[in-house]
Amino acid sequence: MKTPRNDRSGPIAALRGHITLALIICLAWVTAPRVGAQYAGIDWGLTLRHQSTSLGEGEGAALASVDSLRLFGEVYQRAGRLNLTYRIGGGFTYSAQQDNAFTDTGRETIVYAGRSGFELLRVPEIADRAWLGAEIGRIALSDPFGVLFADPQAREPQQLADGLALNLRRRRLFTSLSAGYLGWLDKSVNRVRMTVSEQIDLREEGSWLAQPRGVAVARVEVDDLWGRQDAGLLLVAQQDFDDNDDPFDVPLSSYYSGLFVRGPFLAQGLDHETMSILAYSATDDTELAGVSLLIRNQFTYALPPVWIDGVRFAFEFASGGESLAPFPALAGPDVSVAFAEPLSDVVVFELGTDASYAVPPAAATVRPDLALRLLLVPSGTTTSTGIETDGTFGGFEITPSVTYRPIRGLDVAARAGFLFGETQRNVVRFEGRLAL
Amino acid sequence: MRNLIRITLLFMCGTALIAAQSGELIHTAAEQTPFTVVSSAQLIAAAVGTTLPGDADDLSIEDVQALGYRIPRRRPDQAVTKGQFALLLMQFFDYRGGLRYELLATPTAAFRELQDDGIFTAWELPGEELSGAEALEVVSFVLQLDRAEER
Repeated sequence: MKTPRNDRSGPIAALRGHITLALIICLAWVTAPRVGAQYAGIDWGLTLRHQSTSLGEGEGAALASVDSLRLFGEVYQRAGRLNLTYRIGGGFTYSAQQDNAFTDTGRETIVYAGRSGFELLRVPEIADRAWLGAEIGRIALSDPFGVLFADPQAREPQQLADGLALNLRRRRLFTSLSAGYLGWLDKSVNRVRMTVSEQIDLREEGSWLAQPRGVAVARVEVDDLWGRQDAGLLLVAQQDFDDNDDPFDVPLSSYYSGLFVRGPFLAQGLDHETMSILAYSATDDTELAGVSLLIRNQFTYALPPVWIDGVRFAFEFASGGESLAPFPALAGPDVSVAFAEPLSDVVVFELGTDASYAVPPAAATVRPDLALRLLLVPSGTTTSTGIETDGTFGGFEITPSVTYRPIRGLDVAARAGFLFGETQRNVVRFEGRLAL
Repeated sequence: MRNLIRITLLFMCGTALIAAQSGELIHTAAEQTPFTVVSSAQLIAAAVGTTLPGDADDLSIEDVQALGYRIPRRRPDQAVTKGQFALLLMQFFDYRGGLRYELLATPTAAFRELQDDGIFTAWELPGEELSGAEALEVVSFVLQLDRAEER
């Protein structure tokens, strides 16, 4: 069982490293050697977002809202064939209402340091030659599946870590190696949470920082490996560094290996994406130790764009073994995500369709989407997601959504989810986003 | 019949003349390093059809400004940056950008729009100067995209 760390607390502690980094960036910029052809400039970005959610279980709705502002600034310079970028970013969120699981921290305002640091890129002479990149500072971790680290709905969509990343691309081959420490992140923007107690710790006011944990990610991907199929391999290792004397605090280490293949499948217009992730958790805690498996397969059939753009069929199997813990953020469809921690032992069959229509003003689009999901719980184990399983039936979920985009950088979206199990549950989400 | 032959001959001569003028413009542009602000405006204006390739040399920065286009704050004979070139492209081709470009039509915002569309690569920088050959490559790519969209 993890306990909150009380040794460093407060927002200043979370930002201390960031302030130091800003000073180092200024110093490096002033003292950087001026060699070769010199180009320099600045860039910036801003994202303003409002999200509100209403959850219902037939006894009135529980409301939550999150307003967030994310900013970044970059100073870049080119010296010969080297691009050097100094980046600093951060975010601010305000939650006026916190009555449901979408605001899980118990804090009204959160200020955190975002992706920041130095990035060095060796520019290739010709586009298909190798390019090499290195980044140090607060980096963003990524995976080819987009399920382990990224979450577009989260307060901070990228999973941050303090460390370094190395990337190499040569023609169809992409390799990446990144390693980082999570213990300096504000715990509300860290999504690598391995235990239920970490989820509960989010509401503890005593500590602001995430669990001290190291993560390493290796990726190898090849485009068009055979038959126009892209394929890739992913390896992830994570290790707890907690060294306090709490007897309930059991260090945990986990290892993930994943494979994916995606590309066209037999008929024209039919594409597939297949992935599998095998996880192994090593710990003295018998409830957390074990092997977990996630398999996901999706077929998408593109139709001539008359009424709908395409249909998709997806199958997902996730099993966290007896503990149901090692895939805390992976499985679990929309409505069940809204009710406490997600399912980790589930089979999901999904049938979905989407479309895109041009509407006024010029270049504006409306994108409706509808997904129907059948959820089965193979073990029949009751979890605290709120889905009372009866044998192997979990529920049936309908998720309609619509996104209106008047111009690139401005989106308004409404999304609903209705779960029909033993009791009916629903979630309605509204989101507005402005990005510059 | 005689008139038809005359018109056909006139059209063929005119096409050959325009082709020759285009060839000269392309040849001059390809040899220029770094590419200047005025040359950029002339090349893009000729590509989009605002002016004939043979008349492009006579197009001054003042003419371009008089047509309502924003010109980067540089001397006409100074080297153009990729961001400034992108800003000219966005205006001449009448591209609709994202919110940032529509609110703040800066060279960097224009460059990011074209980078998102794959016209500039991920490692290119808006402050970087470009050569005449690179400018021709970018214009050719944009023309190809434009034609593909028309189809």
